[in-house]
Amino acid sequence: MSIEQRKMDIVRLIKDLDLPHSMYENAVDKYEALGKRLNDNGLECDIYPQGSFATGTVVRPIKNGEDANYDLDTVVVVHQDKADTSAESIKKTVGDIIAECKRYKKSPTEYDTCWTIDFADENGVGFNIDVVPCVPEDDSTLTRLKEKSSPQTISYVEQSVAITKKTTLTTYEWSTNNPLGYKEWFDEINSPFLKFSRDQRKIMFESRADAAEIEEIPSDEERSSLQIAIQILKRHRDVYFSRLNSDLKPISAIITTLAATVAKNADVNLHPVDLLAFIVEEITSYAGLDIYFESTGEYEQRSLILKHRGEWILNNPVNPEDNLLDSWNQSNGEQKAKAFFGWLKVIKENFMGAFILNDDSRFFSAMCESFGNDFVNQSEIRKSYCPPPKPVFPAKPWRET
Amino acid sequence: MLKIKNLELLCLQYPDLVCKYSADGELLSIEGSFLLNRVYGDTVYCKEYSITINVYDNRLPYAKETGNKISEKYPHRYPDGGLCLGVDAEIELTCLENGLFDIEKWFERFVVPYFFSYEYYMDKHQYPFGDRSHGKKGVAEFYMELFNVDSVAKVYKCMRYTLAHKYRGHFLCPCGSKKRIRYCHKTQLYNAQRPEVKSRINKDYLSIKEVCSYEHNI
Repeated sequence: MSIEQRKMDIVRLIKDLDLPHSMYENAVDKYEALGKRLNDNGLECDIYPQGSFATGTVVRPIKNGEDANYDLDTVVVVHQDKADTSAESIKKTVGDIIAECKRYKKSPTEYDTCWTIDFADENGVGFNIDVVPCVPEDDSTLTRLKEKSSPQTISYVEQSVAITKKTTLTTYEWSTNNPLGYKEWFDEINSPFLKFSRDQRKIMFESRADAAEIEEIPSDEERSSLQIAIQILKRHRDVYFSRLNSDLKPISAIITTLAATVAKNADVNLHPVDLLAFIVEEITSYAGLDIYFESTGEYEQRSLILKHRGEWILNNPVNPEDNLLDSWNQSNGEQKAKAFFGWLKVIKENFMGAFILNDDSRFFSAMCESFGNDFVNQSEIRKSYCPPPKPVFPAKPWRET
Repeated sequence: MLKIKNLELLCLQYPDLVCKYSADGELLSIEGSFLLNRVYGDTVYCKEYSITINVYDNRLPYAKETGNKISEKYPHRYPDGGLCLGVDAEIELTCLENGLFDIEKWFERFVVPYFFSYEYYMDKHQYPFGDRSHGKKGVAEFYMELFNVDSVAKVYKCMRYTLAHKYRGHFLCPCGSKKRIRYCHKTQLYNAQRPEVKSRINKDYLSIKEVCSYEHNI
C-alpha cells in the first residue's frame, strides 16, 4: 500500500472510534431533555456540551484494557448570582432533580465536580453523561481574570463560570473554569481546518456520479484534520498507557490545548497524519526549554510547555489561573513529565515511522500497537494489509526459578 | 550435540530469520525477525518481533527477544531477556523425535505461543492457555497434566513406573485407577519411555520426588 493509502486507512480507522451518528443524536436528545427538565423544575439554566464532546474530539475510551462506554461532558449554567447561592446548593439542586427523574434507570453518581448519569447500553455501546453544575462567575473574579489575561485571551474571560467542587464529604467550594470560552477558542483555531475539509469534501462530491446519494454530514459531526489528529493522539495515548498499566496518562486538555496551539502555525491543507507529525515535532522541539531572551526580557513565544524555575507550565488559554500541568509539579510529577515525552517519542518512532515500512503486515502490526489490538484486527482494513491469521498452539510459559 | 531437523522449513516459513554458522559449519544461532499472525477465539495478534535463538551442544535452544518488546515486569522472562517458553520435559516430549530436535515444531508450539500469550496477558491481564508455577512446582504441574492425574503423588508413581519397567499394557496402571495400562495411561507412559527423553524424565523424577516428599511426606 502507498503511504497515501495508509494515511487514508488510518483516518477510516479513527472514524470508527468517534461517537456514532445515532449515539450522537441520542446524546444530544438526552442532554437537551435534561436541560428542559431542570427548567421545568424551576431551575432556570442552559446546558451545553463541553470538553471533547464540544470540540468534536471524542474517542471511545479504554477501561481495563477493553473498549468502554463513551464519557460525554456537559455543563449546566444556572442563571443565579454567585453571591445569592452556594456551591453546595447548586450541586445538590441539580443532583436532586436528576435523581427524581424516573426515565433514568440508575441514580446519578456524585463526583467532585459533576453528576454522572449512566445510560443503558445502546447496540452494545453506551455512554455516560457527566453534568457539571455552575453559575456565571462574579464581577470581581472576572476583573481579576482579565487583569491576568493576555490581550489575545481576554475576550474569552467573560464566559468564565464558577463550578462546584466537593472538597470533603460535606463541604463544597467554587472553582473558576471556562468550558464555553475553551470551545470558542478551539473553534476559532479549528474553523479554517474545518472549512478546508468541507471544501475538499464538496469537490469530491461533485466529481462523483452518485453525489446526490451521499448524505450531508451534520456540521457538529464534521471532523477537520485537526480534530482527527487530536483523536489519533488521544487513542494512541489510551492504548499506550493502558498497556503500561500506568496512572501517568496525560489528560485530554493537555493534548487538545497543545495540538490546537501548534495548529495555529500549520497549513490547513495538511493531511491529519501529517498535521499530527507536525504537532508532535513542534511539542517535542520546544517543550521544557526555558528559553529566555535577554534582549526583549520575554520568553520565546513558541515555547509550548515551559519549565520555569523548576515548575512545569502550560496555561489554559482561556483561564489564566489554570496551569494544565499542575499535576506535573506534584509528588510524582517528574514521572508524569517523563512519561509524556516518552509517549511522544513512541508516536514519532513507532507510529509515524511505520508509514515508511515496506511491508504492509509490519505497518499493520504498528497500527495494532498504536490503536488497540482487538479494535484494529476487527476493522475493515485488516484484510488489505495482513494474510488471514493461523490458529495458535496452546502453550503454558514456565520459568526455571 | 543437539541434532536439529526442519531448520530449512523454519527459515522458509519465516524468511527474515537468518542462520549463523561456525567456521566448521555448525549451527550457532538463528537471528532476525518474525511476524506473529495468530488467532485464538476472537483474539488476533499481528505483531513483529526480533529474536535470537542460540543453539547449544547439550541443552535446548535458548530464545531471547531482542527488540525490547517484552516488559521486564513480565513474570515469564529471564533477566537477560530469555523467554520462559515451557517446561523442558514438555518441549522434549513434543519436539524430540528419534534423537532429532524438530526446531520448526518447537518454534510453532512454544516460541510463537509464548509471544501470543505475552500480548494477551498484557492486554487482558490473564493468560490465554494458563501458565505454570516457577521452578519444580511448575514441572510437577506439567506431569500432572501429562498423566492426567490430580496429585503429585500419582505423578510420582507414574514416573517411577516409567523408569523402572518396560511397557506392559496388561499391567495395572500406576496411577491407581485399577484399570489396565492399555485402557488408561497407555499413550503417556509409552511416550515417556522413549529413549531420547529418558534422561529428562529421570532428572524430573528426582525433583518431583522432592516436591512429593515436601507436600505428601512420602
